[in-house]
Amino acid sequence: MAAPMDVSGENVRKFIKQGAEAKVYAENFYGRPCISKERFSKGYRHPTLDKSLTLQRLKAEIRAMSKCRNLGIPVPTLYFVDTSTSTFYMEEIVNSQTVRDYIVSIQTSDPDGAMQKLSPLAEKIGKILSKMHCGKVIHGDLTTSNMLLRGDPSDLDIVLIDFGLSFSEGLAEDKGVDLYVFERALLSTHPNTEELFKVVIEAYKKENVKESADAISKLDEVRMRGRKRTMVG
Amino acid sequence: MDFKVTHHLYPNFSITLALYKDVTNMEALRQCVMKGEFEATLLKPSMICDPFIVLTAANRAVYLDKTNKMTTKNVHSEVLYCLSPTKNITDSFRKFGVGDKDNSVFIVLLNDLDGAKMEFIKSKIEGCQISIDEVSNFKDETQVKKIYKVTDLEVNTCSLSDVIVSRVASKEFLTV
Ligand SMILES: Nc1ncnc2c1ncn2[C@@H]1O[C@H](COP(=O)(O)O)[C@@H](O)[C@H]1O
Repeated sequence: MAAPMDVSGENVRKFIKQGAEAKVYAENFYGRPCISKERFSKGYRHPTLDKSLTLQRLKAEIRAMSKCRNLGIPVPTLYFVDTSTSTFYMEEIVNSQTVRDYIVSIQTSDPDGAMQKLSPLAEKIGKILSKMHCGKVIHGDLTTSNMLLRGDPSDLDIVLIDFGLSFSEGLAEDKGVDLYVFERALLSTHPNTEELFKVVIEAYKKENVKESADAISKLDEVRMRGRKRTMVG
Repeated sequence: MDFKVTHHLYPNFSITLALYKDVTNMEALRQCVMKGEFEATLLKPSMICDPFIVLTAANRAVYLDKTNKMTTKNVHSEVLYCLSPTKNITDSFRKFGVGDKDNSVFIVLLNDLDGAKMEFIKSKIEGCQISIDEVSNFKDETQVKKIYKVTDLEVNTCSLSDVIVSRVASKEFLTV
């Protein structure tokens, strides 16, 4: 442990982001760079109900991360959970960029070769999502911002973050919806990524042929529903 | 050579860590703690892969004390309980607490901002203080993996130490 004797060391919290459910900060946890995430209450809910819902969400997030760790899917190391303020502290994935930023940079620097360059990344994503779903973890908010690439992007060392909407479920329906959420997020954030999503799905299938078939047919169903909804609305 | 930090949430509370080898009076030291002559957590170094794991457990123990949520009767035994993956207190003590026959000990001392308590404890120890980072030389990795039920899949994605840190931090949420 490199940190010296330090009795006075004051922690400096740096605000990073305010989401719909939580505030995210960067700070230091006994010498390690750390990200803290504080769920705040929703003013419009009854205080008692609000408190129990917030705690449930917090628990679900911690459990999903721990399940992923068990499954061999990289997630940040957990440092501390403070239930009294609904805050948890985790490892900051240093020297990383979001998959979102990486895709944008490749598409910008090499529009024609982007599909080919990004293909291994898409494969890796499909593989990870398949593993996660086989372990009955539904992420709930799959976007390219909730996937970090650690170190050199070509290492494809993906770390999943933000399990704030996750739950534990083995139903094909939930897996299909999880994939659909990711498809929408990918296509709406990054132009011309239809082919890339196909690569994700192919790898998803290949990782676990037996279990993935149902999830993918559910994905097709959910897509149809989604389309109908947009035609009506 | 002690390692001393203030608690992440409560700056008026300190966490001090120290490591001793070649200790010749372990039984007497344990008696001191049991009789309440001084309060400290005496850990078995072979169960510790990384001082940061102990820090994570101590951080939690102080927090549980401050929020009146302790499982054991004092904050020093709570450190030991927080470090252990099981909810069985006796079992936690047996596996993580130092034994009379051990000759090395990892000490956790809480709430000693001015260092006076540590001075007193040191006057009682017959042994040789070394850097806490040397604890990795004592670890029994096979035993540690077994007790925390760490799988190969897990240590593929991060270090053994980080797997255990996460386990310690999430203990109350995991169903064992
Ligand atoms: N553990 C982490 N390590 C590094 N960056 C993170 C981590 N968690 C969150 N972030 C960053 O903070 C942003 C918001 O976090 P979140 O609300 O959890 O999606 C993410 O898009 C990341 O850029």
